[in-house]
Amino acid sequence: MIDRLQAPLSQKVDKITFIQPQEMRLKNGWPVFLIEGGTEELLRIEFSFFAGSRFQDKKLAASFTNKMLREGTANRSSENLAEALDFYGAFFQAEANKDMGSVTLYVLNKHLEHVLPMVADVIRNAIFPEKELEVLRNKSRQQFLINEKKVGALASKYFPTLIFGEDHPYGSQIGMADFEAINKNDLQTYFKRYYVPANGSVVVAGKIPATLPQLLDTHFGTFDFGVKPQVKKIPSPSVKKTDQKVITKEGAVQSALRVGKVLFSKDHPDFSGMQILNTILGGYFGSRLMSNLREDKGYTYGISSSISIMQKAGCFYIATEVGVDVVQPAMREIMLEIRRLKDEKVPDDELNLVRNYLMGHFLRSTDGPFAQADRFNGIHHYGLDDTFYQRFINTILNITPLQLQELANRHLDENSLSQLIVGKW
Amino acid sequence: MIQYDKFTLENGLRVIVHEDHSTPMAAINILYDVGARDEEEKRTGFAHLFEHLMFGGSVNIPNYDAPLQRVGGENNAFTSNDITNYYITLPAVNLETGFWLESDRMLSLAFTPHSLEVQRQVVIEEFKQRYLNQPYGDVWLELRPAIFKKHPYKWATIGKEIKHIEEATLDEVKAFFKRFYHPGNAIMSVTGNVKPDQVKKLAEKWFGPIPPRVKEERNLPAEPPQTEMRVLELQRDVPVDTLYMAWRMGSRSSEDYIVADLLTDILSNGISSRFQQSLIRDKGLFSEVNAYITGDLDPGLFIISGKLMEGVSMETAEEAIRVELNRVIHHTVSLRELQKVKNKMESMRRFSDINILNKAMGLVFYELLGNVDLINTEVDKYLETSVQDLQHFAQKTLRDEQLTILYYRAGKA
Repeated sequence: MIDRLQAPLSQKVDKITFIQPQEMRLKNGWPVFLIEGGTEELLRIEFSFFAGSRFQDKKLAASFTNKMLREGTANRSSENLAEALDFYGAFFQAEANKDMGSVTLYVLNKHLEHVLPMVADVIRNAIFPEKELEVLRNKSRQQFLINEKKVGALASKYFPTLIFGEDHPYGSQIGMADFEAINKNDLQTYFKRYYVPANGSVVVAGKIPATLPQLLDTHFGTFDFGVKPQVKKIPSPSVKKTDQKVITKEGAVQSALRVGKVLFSKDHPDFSGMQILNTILGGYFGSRLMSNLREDKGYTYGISSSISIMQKAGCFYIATEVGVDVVQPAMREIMLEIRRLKDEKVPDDELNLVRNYLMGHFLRSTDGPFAQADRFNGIHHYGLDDTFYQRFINTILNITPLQLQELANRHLDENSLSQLIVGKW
Repeated sequence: MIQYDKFTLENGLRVIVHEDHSTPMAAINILYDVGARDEEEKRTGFAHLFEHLMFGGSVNIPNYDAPLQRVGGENNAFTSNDITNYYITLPAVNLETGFWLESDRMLSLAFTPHSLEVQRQVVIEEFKQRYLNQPYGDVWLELRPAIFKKHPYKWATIGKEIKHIEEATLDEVKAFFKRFYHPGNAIMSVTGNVKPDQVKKLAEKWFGPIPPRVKEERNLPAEPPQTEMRVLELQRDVPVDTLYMAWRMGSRSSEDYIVADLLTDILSNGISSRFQQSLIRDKGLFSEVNAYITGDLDPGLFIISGKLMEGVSMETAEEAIRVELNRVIHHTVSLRELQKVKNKMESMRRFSDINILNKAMGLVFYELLGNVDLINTEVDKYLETSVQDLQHFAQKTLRDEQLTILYYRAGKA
């Protein structure tokens, strides 16, 4: 008979092997990082630029420029581009967040030669045609109106403004009028200024064919290198006093809650420790918030705490949607769990579980070349090097309950936390 | 090409192993052959509620999640109308912990009243969050019973109504477990940095002693053929008029599936697709419009849904869709167009194959379909499909007598 009461022997993950990217430069100086790995003959090629919304002078410039890149060039119409990319089974993904604007190509190696010239054309010669811009405006307006009916989407929209302030690059939000105001000229200007080799880099992950450096040089090495744009310094958040904001939605059967504050970015000495504290509080399925509000009380389908990381700041926040009849008790329990982190030391058993959970999480970031590339972006875009992960792992393995309690007292003062309720309070 | 080993334990549990030594991780996937279609009409939502209870502790292990997290693992599960699927990823060196946890909850659950009370509440909040408190959240709660009159696809996985979840009893939970949660009703796959011998040994050690039970013959009422078009109108507090058209079609295993999959890609997958080009960009009638199939194990649906631009009437929008459908009914698509969607399909599969969890889910699902080797050979069926096949399917399927149409109008509810 096997003993089912006893967990099998397990091993601690304490060493993690990161692939070191191979760095090269195209003949125009564009930096390229190659991450070799995987079993299939395919590649992910990511062109990223410091072209996120924090650099924009006009709202929507960053996201619309990014979304419109593939909508036609001086040489190819939007339809031709789309048809050709689709024909070669290539997936073209454009994404812009607060900091970065990127274009990512997923392609089978056998189609590389056909696909790379098109992508080069897009990044070099996008023309932002009026007709496609109007399509994007219309779609965005409708999505905006639909999101106005979702308590969760409203909470995500208003919370950054609540903590950073409307005039801060990380706190500004879109209104209906912005869709009308943005025009072709704005996008062309933004594109010319920010989507240049001097302002970004390329990360290639997958099974890299020997011909790739030559191919990249042929199609991308001839771009003008350009100049890195001068950017304004990010101001401090303009919000002085934190408080509670309630947005009432008639007929809501659940309210969306957010509790949180502005935090630092990855270069702060307390960053790793706060990640661990956040995991304990609400960063995994077995977290304190999940155990209490979902698994013990059944107030919600899900609750989490997160630290969203930007290049120049972070944002710590708790997010959930709860039945309108339990909003106040749910808020009380959230504040109670924060209080406990400050008043009590985390038990060794719980801390050890979280150490192991996070090490497993790190090991996942080495699972295949795409995960390795994501991990690399996580330092590269922040001006950090591999010692960041060494320090992080070191903190995971060695942080003490006392240090965590000190962190909680330093950074999670209840008076510094803003509350947002969308639905009914 | 996904290489695999397959064996069956004496108690009937089927196990499939795929080695991928390029990763330090392993994935374990267990599919139970039970979904919302197996529920009693008076207890809908039960399969999904039960999935939640599977995390409420098993006979020898009071807490499922903590021991897994303790070895660096993560897990989740989902329920559909057809199946319930549980999966883990964890460092491969700790594979045995996954076997220990999964085998204990296949052996027996703890069945604590507290777990039922809490998960009942959690599921009710899930019902509210995903179906009641979202614009358009109730579409399928309304459409399913309009389309299916006999077959249990007439209710959604979450259930017909909250009341059914409120009334579930612990005795019903126990009976459900006995009926559906046993080795012969499950298929397991293990992928990643593992060896077939190692998996076989672990499977025999942890799952081997679980007593077999008899697998029940599934005997669901077939949905009778539809004979005339059905029209449904709803008015809700949403910002945008939306149109839904659903035609009855064959099951996941029927010859319909692959042809329909390619046809929906031609209609709406990607910017170069016909709907994108014609209905969104040229005519400006929709902000989005998609064609897709449900891929159900019993005969399912071919669906088109679209959000109308402001000022466009339902009649104009519907007519424009019908013009596009007539193009594929009366003419063959071009060879290049077909080649395009085949290339996309190939590429999508190759990218999906780099992930050990995707592979684990694929292996058990194809085994459930009747032949695990389909994971490698199904692609040939796509490649063999002709433009005539697409046209025949369109002619056979996209007919008004098999159509249910829903006009979901913006306004005050």
